[in-house]
This record gives sequence, C-alpha cells and structure tokens, in this order.
Amino acid sequence: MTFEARSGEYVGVVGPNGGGKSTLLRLLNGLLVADSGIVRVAGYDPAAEPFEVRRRVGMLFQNPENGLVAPFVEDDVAFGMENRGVPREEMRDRVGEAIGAVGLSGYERREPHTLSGGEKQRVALAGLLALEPEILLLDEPTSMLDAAGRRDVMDRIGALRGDRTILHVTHHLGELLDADRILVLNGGRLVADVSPERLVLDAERLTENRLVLPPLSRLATGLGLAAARPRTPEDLAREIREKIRKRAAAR
Amino acid sequence: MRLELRDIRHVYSPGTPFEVEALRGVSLAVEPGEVLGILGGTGSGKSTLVQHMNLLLEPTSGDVLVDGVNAATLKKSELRRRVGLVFQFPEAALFAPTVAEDVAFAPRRRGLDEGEVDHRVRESLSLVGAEHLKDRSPFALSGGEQRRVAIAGVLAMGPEVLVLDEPTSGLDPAARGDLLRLIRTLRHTGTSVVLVSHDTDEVAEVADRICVLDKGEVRAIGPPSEVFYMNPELAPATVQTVAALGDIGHDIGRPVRFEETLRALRSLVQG
Amino acid sequence: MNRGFGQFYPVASALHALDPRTKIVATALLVFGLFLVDSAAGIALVVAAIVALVAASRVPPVTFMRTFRPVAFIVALTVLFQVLFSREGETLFAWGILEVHAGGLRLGLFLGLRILLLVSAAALLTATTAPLALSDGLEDLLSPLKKLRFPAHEVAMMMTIALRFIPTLHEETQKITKAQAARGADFSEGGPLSRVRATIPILIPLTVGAFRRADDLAEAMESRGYRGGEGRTRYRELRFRPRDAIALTVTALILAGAALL
Repeated sequence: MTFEARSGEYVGVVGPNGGGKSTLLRLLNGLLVADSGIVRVAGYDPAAEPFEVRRRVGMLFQNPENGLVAPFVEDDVAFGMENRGVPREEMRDRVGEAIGAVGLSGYERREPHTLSGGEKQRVALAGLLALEPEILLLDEPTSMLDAAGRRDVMDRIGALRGDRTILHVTHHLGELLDADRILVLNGGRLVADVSPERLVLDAERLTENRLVLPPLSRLATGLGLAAARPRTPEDLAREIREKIRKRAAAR
Repeated sequence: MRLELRDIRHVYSPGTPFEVEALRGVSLAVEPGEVLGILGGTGSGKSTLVQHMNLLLEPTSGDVLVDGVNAATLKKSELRRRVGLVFQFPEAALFAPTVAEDVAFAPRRRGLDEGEVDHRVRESLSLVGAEHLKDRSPFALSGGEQRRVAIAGVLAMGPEVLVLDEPTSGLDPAARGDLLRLIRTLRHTGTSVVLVSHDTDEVAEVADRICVLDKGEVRAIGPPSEVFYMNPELAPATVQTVAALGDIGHDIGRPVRFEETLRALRSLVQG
Repeated sequence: MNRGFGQFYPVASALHALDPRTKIVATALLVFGLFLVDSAAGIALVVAAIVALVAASRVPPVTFMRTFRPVAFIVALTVLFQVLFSREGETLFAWGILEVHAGGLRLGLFLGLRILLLVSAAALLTATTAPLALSDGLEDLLSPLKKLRFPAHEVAMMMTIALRFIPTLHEETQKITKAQAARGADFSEGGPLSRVRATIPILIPLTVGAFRRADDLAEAMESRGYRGGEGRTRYRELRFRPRDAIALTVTALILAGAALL
C-alpha cells in the first residue's frame, strides 16, 4: 500500500473490518513494524525511532476505558508528559490547558470510572494534546460511544483541524463528509483514495466495501441533491423546498 | 406474553449519601409479538428499567406483571427463561471453550436432555447466522461474531420476550443491518422484542411502538409516527427533515421508516 | 458504603495532611518498636499514643473498632493459649491440670495487646492515606533500592494501574454476574463445590477481559511514550514539611521511651 498525507490534511480511512485500517495506524506510530516497504512519519521511521515519532504523533483508541492509565483525570493527562521528562511546574499548566481544550475544566480530580464514554475519550484526547502532536491518529474513537458522546468528541476533533494532520478511521461516513480525502481499505489493499464528494456518489464502491452513508446523506442522494455536504435536517428541508420551488417555476 | 411494568420506582443506595432515584414511576407494557423501542440517553434509567423486566433488579415500589400475574410470585429461573435479557456488550460474558458449549449453557441449566440442548443450540445459532462458528472458540471470533454468539446464548432459552440493551453498540454498519434483520425475524416468529437504544434511526426502522425515557420518567409512548412527529426534537434526522418542511410536509403524512420517507419526499419533489 | 478494614476515610485531619512517606515510616517504626517494648508502662504509653492518633485522625472510633473484627479470634486464641499453657511466675489458679500463672497472664495480655496495636497502626495508615498517595510514598521510599535492581518504579506503576482499574473490574464483575444470572446461573444454590464451579462463567470472562484490557492499555501507554522509569518526571508531588519532621521525631521519641520504660 502506498499513500501520502500532507501537513494539515484531514484524511478519513474506511473499509470493512479486517481490511487493514487499524494495522495502518499502528504502522504509523511504531506499534507494528512493516514486513517490507518504507514508512516515514514527520521525517522519522517509526520502527527505528518510535520514541521520537510518538512525541509528534498522538493516537486515540477505540475503547475509551482502556486508554486511561491513572486513577485521576489530571494524572492521566500528565502521563505523556511524565514519560517525556517534562518538568513538574510546566506540566501543571499544560495539564490545565489540555483539560480546558476538551471542555472538561473542573474534572481534574474525577476518577475515570465515573465518567461517561464521551468524557473518557475527551480525557484521552487531552492527554494527547498536552504533548502538542503534529499528527493525530484516530482509531474508531466514537464507535463505542452513544450519540451524545460521539458529538462531543467529534466537536473537539473538528476544532483541531488545520493545525494538524489527522487520520481518522471510522465506520461512520457522516463524520468524514468534510474530510479532505477518504482512503478505502479492503483486504489489505488501498482500493480508493478519493474526495468525499466522489465517494458518496459511487454506490457500487460503497456496497463493495460495506460502507453506509448517514440517513440524511442517503436522503439527499435519493432526491438528487449533493450528498457530501454535512447538513442539518433544516438545511435539507430548505434544499427540498428550493427544489420544489424551482420545479414549480419551471412549469 | 404480555409483560407489564406498573409504576416502577427504583432507588439505588437508599438512605445513604449516594442515594439516587433512577426510575420515578415508569409504567409501560410490552404487547405480545411487538417490537417496543425504548429511547433514552445516558442517565435516563433505561438500563435500570430493562433489568426489572426479568427481575434482575427488584423495584423499590411498583409491580412487574407477566400476563397479569405478579412476577415476584414466579420462580426466578422460569421468569428469566421467558424474558431473555441481553446486556450491552454481551460478548464480555462469553466463557466456554466452544461456541456450542457457551450457547448450551442456558438450556443445560434448565435440565433439558442433551438431544434437546443440541437442537436449541443449532436453532439459535442458525437464527443469528452463526452456525458455521459452532466449534470455534468464542475468544477467537471477531467482535460482530461474538455479539451474535452471545445473543444466540439467550435465544437458546426460547424466550417469549427478548430484551436487547444497545445491541448494535460498537458494530460496523453491516453487522448493524444484520442485527436489525434479526429483530424483524424474531418478531415474525412471534417473539416480542424490547430494543433499548440511544440510536433513533435504528429504533425508527424496526419499532412498532416507542417509549421515550427521560431522567427516570416516561416522556412519550406510542406509535413512532405519533411520538416522533409530536416531539420532533426526539426524532431521527429524516423525520426532522419532514417536520422542518412545515406546511409542504403535511401533504405526505407522517413517514417514519427511511424507505417510506424517501418515497414520500420523492413524490413531493416530483409533484 | 461498607467501610471495612482500614479503608481510606476521606476527611481533613492533621494525620491526613501528613506526607505518606512520614506515615509509612512511622508505621514501620511502630511495628519494629512494639517488639522492643517489654513493660506494662511501655505498652500503656503506646496505647495512649495510638488512642491520641485515632482521635487526631478524625476517623470515627466505631470505624476503627471494625478493624479488630478480623483479628479478634486470633487475639483471643493467643491470649488463651498463653494464659492456659504458660508456666511462668506464681500460680494464680489451678483446676487439675489447668493452671493459670501470673507470667502467662501477663504474657498473654502483652501479646494480645501487641497484635491489636499493630493492627491499629496499619489501619491508621490506610485510613488516613489515600491509596494513590500510599503508592507514591512507597515508590519514593523504595527508589533507593533501584540501585540494587529492585523494580521500584514498575511496582509503583503496577499499583497505580491496579488502583485505576479496581472500580472498573468491580463493575465488570457485576455485569458479567448479571448476564449469567439472566441465562439461568444461580450462585447461591448447592454445596461448596458447586458454588465454586458456578463462579467459572464469571472468572473466565473476567480474566480474558482483563488480559484484553492489559493489551489495550499497553498499546496506549506505549503510544504515549512510556518506556519504563528512565528519564520520567512525576506530576504528583510529595512534599516533606516541618510537620512531617515533627511527626517522625515524636514517633521516634515515644517508641524510644516505651522501649526504655
């Protein structure tokens, strides 16, 4: 598989389970080593210099429970910095900032088991942000969350776009409608590297790779409207009214 | 079987500083052969409610009635056979060396003979589409496969009511679709299904009736078209779109399922 | 909430505010010192000190009394054994072969009291020190042993992770138990052997789940740059204050006094 992501790109990664999405992410931060080929992340080879790579690459995992290592939120957020030998005084400020950046100010002394799934993922995200990574790898971070948790986490991730390169593995195409690119992995192969606009219109490709669009997008496609735009029901209703008006005017 | 919950209150840790009233007087009934969707967010009390259906939890006050009979007077094991409860992430409870052994657990506990147990195992594995996994180790399966095996383990009891607590949590869209298909199949065979979910889209697709739970109380209950159109903020995005159309939308009635919504909107747009 | 044996009791007190290292060392000194105390006056001094500490800890005495329950039997047995079978000192009573000597009585009481005092000291430590603080304190105290290849950091990391996951595992156990109960498992029927067998459908998934968790956690920790204790700083701070020095000095003095009395 060959691909390249440029600085600041938001790249979605989709495809059926077992297709290689998680493997891809783990190759990028050195948790797995490629049997052959070259991997370069921020100029480094993750297999050769994982510690260097991991300073610049933060990875968010699927299971919110198993990503938190410390008995208190603030301690967990500090974990990465502790590993890097950041001096204590500096850590305090950065922990506070990171917790604020994910909207969890006041949660410092909370214990992980008292948090909702969405809150746990945000704590994990804060832990990553405290190290100011250039690249974020997201491995289905919302698949075990409920709708509210998913929304909270995606809001925070959305706010991080632009500064960082983000690779986002997910089954929810709705999260990727305004991505820069979407990679489709199936059976260990990169079968597509396209824009969201093109992917949502490619019904064959969607079925082949067991991809499902969110209901509003499917509704839009079914009504002949652009599907790749992330929209609210009100937006779609407006577009429908517009279409009806146009048709009436054309008669 | 008709399963009724009458004015159920449940208080956790009563009389301590940790006291919390999870259910504040919930009344609902599961009619024979229907799919009842229970919608609610975190803290709504839906998981607490669902555990009262087979008396894993006992109400602080209120009654659970099975065909009019107080469930507290029934043998627990019998009640739990007739009302099968599948928890969220049920694969966490798989334990046997093979899938067949795990699914056989419940029928064996009932004391059925091996022939009958084997029959039940095959039948329920077939229902969930996992017959080919019969001799595999449950721990070597994918998440979706494990989920199916766990559900088969409860189906093997032959319940009249199957309660599913967030059954599609963490599943990819394909597996999610399979599960909704399973629910429809079960309904077809006369088993009632209680589907607890936070996902309005999927509840809209399969439910005959919907109950919305909010902070331990029933906020709305009735057919989806009624509940969703009277409370659009609770409805799936597709229904909200129709509702947002205002006057124009009134002509197409109250579609709830995706296909009917699409058809209705298409006809509207095409005039 | 069941406040059992020496469980952490979160309240503000002079003892709670002490550095955990101070308390660990003081407890260790106490345990060591108790074996040197030999006189009634000495024991009385230690008893008085413990009572004063319990008062200072602002933990309800009733909670403390509960710490004695598990050892009550052992204490009674110890006292009884000494009283009935020691032949030291003058005979106080005699019924046939059973003789109670003054020496035995004295020794029995001493040993019994010693056990109670040891238990009280341990309970004082755990009741006034949060588990995480205890873990930190121990790590700090054991760190000089790193020179002797003792994995102080790893042990502390294990304790921290254990503390983090105990509530989670507890919830998991309850969930699995309920899931099996929903399938007809009964954990209260049958003799001891069947009850043990009944726990298999709980223990196996719990263990498998724990290993999975460990794998996930290891991945997360590695991704966040964990590579053992080398070059690691610590977010939490242990600060040795004047009150700690005072506390240690007082403890040492009391024990010296009790041993010399």
